[in-house]
Amino acid sequence: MDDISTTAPADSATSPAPVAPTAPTAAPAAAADSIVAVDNLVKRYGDVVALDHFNLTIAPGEIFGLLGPNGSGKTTAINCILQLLTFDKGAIRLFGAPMTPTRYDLKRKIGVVPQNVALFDELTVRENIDFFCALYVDDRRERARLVGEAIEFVGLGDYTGFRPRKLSGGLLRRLNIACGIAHKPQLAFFDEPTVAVDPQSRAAILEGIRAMNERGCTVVYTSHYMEEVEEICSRIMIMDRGRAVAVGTNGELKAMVGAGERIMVEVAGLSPAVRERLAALPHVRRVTYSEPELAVQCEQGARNVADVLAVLAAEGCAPGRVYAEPPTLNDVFLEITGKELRD
Amino acid sequence: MATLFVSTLRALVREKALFIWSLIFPLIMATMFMFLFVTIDDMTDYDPVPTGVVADEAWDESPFSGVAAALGEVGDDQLLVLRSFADEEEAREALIAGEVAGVLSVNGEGEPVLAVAPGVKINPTADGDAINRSILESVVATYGRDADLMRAIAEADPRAFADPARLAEAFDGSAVTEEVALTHGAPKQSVRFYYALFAMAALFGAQIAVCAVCWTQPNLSPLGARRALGAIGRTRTLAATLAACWLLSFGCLVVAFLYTRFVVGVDFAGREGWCVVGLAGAALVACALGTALGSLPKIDFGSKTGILTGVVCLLSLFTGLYGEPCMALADTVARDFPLLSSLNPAKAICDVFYSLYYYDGLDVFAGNMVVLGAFAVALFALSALFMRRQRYASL
Ligand SMILES: Nc1ncnc2c1ncn2[C@@H]1O[C@H](COP(=O)(O)OP(=O)(O)OP(=O)(O)O)[C@@H](O)[C@H]1O
Ligand SMILES: [Mg+2]
Repeated sequence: MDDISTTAPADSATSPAPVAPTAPTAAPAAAADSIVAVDNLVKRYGDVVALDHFNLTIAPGEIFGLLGPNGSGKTTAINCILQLLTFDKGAIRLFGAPMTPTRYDLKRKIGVVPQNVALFDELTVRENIDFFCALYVDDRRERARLVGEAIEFVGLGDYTGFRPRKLSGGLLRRLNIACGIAHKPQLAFFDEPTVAVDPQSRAAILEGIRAMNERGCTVVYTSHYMEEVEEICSRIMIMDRGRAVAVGTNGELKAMVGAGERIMVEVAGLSPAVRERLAALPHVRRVTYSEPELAVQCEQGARNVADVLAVLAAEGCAPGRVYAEPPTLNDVFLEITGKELRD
Repeated sequence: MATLFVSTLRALVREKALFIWSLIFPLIMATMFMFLFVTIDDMTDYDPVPTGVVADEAWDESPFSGVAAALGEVGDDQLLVLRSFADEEEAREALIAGEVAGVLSVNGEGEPVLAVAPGVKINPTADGDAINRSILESVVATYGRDADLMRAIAEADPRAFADPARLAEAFDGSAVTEEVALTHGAPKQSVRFYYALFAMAALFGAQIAVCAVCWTQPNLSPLGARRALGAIGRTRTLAATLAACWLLSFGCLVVAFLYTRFVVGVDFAGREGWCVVGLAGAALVACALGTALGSLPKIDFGSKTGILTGVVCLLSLFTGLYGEPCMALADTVARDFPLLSSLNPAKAICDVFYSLYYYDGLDVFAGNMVVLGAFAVALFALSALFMRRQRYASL
């Protein structure tokens, strides 16, 4: 087995082609040289089908986003990939090899930041990170260095002697992250790592993930915060009820559903007739009104705002604030599944 | 692996709740026993009882006078200090004055009679009086029984009197001093209670393993699930974890033992070293019990602790931990239901100590240690059934 476990993947000549993040338009990796390949995975919990013929291919160097609402199967997918859960059907290959629970050589190259914080309550911040790092790295001195770097990475320098109980929710999450990545994995799974983390720390964490990725680490990132996923992921899979409903880059996904901007207008006492006229406009997909907020979802087009305002003027409505929002992944999700990603 | 061991040990040591049962409990109980057993042990370490004798004709003619004289002979095992009175009147005065604990006489039928005066103090301690009285009562009762036995033998098999060995056999167990000669140390009643206490403390130590095993199993804790994703195999994880558990259980027992030996001052017949070996075995059984209980799926740590407490208290009932009636129950169960008794790990731990205390050789001790080993193996095997899984249907 190669020695990548104890060196930064980027330094390792033996690691499977650590490359720069794929360009936004890169095509999905062919299964052959992919770092994660999931084929037709079916996972049931009793009657609940958590994963329904789920396919996933991730190329080395990607930051791959799994985006989906609660219960869509993100955590289940990760736990199946990592062989923690049994599954009913399907095949899983990591680093090109079939994954099994005892492939410690593969596990050594993988980092996991679980959704449920998993730490020793009675060990300090530093001792916890050292413990988890020791699951992958035997050499003590090497580990001391890695642990120091991980502490710096998550900015817990002032808390090294604290027990987890004494950390705030956000600091605890950061510790959870440090424990998952201290050994400098080549492939890292982050399962909703930023829950309860404040905006500054969140920005720092996302920045850190990007930095890891630039050093050659492939990242699988799950979240139901679409902004995060849009911000850092080179490719995104949108999941719903255990199925991949769409995969592509941010731009590809939006283009796929042809979503344009959403025009928001503050206007009082809008009659149903006016709403019908708006809905009849050529580029308008959907009109929703909850007094006094009018939302008009458009397809991509140059004259959308002008058209909407013209209709309102013709009907004698006096609009207040008017603004347009660019399309989001929520719109994509809405378009595909007919429901909001966020409640 | 070393890091795994050290980290586990460190985390366990800091889990203070674990020490309530494994350490604090035996220390408190040992201290309580120390005060409780002062009197019981005094009974075995008795001073000879000042006894009045009505030395009339009936007394001189009765064989009982010979028995009393033998018990009153000056020596290590002197039971009575005899003081002769010419008649009952004189003796009664001495009794009421508190000069003697009781007065022995022989009535018209040649039977020994004991007269005591309740409420009169002779000894500085009130209990001393009671004990003296019961010694006298037992002297009279034992004589009565032996005399009956003699009569029975005389009727059934008169030639038996010609054979001292057969006579000794017939009277085996009736003499107070005989038991002493058979044992390795000079036995104290209370020592049994400390052994039962060690057994209980050891089994309570199983809680340590219950806790640590929970940290290793994906189906028992998020921590266990996380650890299963690391590059260290399950067997190595468990080996390091159980080693840490064993060391900690053992450490607690040794502390309790040292406290019992040097602070409480219990005598272990000079075999302290072997006792510590016995404790090591007890800690192993505790570890195995904790692993088996800890590995049960779908039961949370709190419930497992509850189950453990219940089981240990029940098992300890049959080691006689809770007092004399219980000791009698333990003996009865051991005699009448040997199989049931032999399935009790608490009893097995007690037996290890008994074997050190009551036997000269170490054979029985070695045998009992093998029994402890068998318990551990059986319990570990049981745990393996639950811990073999590598992947789970759900977490
Ligand atoms: N242990 C379990 N037993 C039964 N059903 C489960 C179990 N774990 C998850 N499920 C079900 O499987 C589906 C997928 O759950 P999963 O936890 O993978 O979703 P998720 O996308 O990670 O959600 P979240 O965003 O809330 O973390 C859900 O319908 C959930 O109810
Ligand atoms: Mg989840």
